[in-house]
Amino acid sequence: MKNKMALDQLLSLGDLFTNSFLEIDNRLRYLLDAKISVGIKRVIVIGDGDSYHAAVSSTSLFNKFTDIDYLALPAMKFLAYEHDYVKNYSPGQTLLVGVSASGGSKRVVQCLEKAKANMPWTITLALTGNVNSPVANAAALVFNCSIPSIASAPGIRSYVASMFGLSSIAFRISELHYINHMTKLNGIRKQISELGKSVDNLVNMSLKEVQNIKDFSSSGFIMTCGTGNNFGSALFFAAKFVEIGGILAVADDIEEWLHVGRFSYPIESPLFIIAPKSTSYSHAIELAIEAKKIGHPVYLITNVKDVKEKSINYTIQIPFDLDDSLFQLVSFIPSIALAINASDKLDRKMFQSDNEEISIGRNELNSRLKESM
Amino acid sequence: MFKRITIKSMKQHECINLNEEINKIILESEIKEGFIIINNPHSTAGLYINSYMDPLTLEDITDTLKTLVPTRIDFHHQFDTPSDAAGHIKSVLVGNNETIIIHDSKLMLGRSQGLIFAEFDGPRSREIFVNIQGDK
Repeated sequence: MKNKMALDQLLSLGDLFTNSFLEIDNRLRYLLDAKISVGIKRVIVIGDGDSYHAAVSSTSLFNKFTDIDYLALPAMKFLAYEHDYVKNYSPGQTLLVGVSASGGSKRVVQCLEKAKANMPWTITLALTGNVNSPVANAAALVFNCSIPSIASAPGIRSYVASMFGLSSIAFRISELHYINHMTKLNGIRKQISELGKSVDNLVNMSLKEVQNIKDFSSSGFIMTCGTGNNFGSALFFAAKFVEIGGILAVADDIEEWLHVGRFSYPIESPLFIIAPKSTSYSHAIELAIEAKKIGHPVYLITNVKDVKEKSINYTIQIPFDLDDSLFQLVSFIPSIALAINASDKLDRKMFQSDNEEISIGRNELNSRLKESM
Repeated sequence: MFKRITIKSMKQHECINLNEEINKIILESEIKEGFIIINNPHSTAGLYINSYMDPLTLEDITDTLKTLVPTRIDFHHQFDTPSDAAGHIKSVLVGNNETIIIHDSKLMLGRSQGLIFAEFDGPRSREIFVNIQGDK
């Protein structure tokens, strides 16, 4: 087992739901109080990698539970393309959330600093696992989303912690804007915190089920698909295939794949579709039929029971009765089991950590870049 | 004899007359002479006795409580919501329990009086505790 760090994190996810969700949620209640929250009309969430995926995964939560506009952006996109065009709302009406589990994401720091300098009417908030970090120092408010550390990489537990934090922000705005009564939201909070045992079962089931899936590790290319919040899960799926399995993986929106992605080779590359039972399920089935016709092996991750569609090679069941807007909290779990299994078969170390050129780190890369200029 | 009454409030502020429900419980208990203790275990709701003949009276009481305790954003209690914080104060002003005499198997209330459950942070599921003491 080369990827013990990933496996250890996977096996500890249930505990994270049981012991950390309500703790993180409680921390926010004292931070995002009525005085701050009452005027918020727009939330912009920025992050890189898993943090950005968590932001996209949380889209439906904000859409469903709040009355505000929600925008999830990669930090660089915000810096280079969006920052200058963000409409000037009245003071206190825009909440800019910089997500960085480590607190060290340079671009996120730049976003928060630029916003403080050029958008003084914005409330800046760092959502981070490290309250003494550059990201924390760059924001007016610091939302402590730290969790007991097991391994810093790959980002699995920290991805969940970021989603917990963003869920808490959505619930908090919802109750303070009187969109939903706090008793209803407290019920949902309780539901999330009580998922621990079911998450443990899903982890064990996923580790067993990957053995039933035909070996795809040698295919060299994997596609993942989802829509809305499930597109965030598809991005995270792809990232873990790359980081843990070292396999090139690309995420796409379901409709985009039907429009464009289907024209790509190799046609034997597997396609993983993430679709819960209501919002995007029929669309996902349409995609499965089309992809299978072309020649792709198709795998579905869903909470729909008894999937009968013959175009699907294998269905990974998420046996949870969860609202679609919460599906991202658990739907990513099989991706870790799949990626660990693939990397074992390929005898690869995650992040190509046995490749000296890859493992030199970003700082050294930057200094080499400076030297060469 | 101990009993629970379940209530489902439908609005943020709501007044629910409990007379009928309480009289039913007294009849079931077969107690003819005694007293009944009614307790509201919720800290954002209240219990009081007042006239229910004209429902607008209850509206006036609620409106006045809202004026006395506006839902502000600067409450110290920030863990929940401003509406919840205001509800706590309204609950203190109104009170949470009543003791009423039972005579001839009936609540001894004035002709227009009702035992009113006052919701201050609904809609919610609530319950009321009732204890009856006396002679059959």
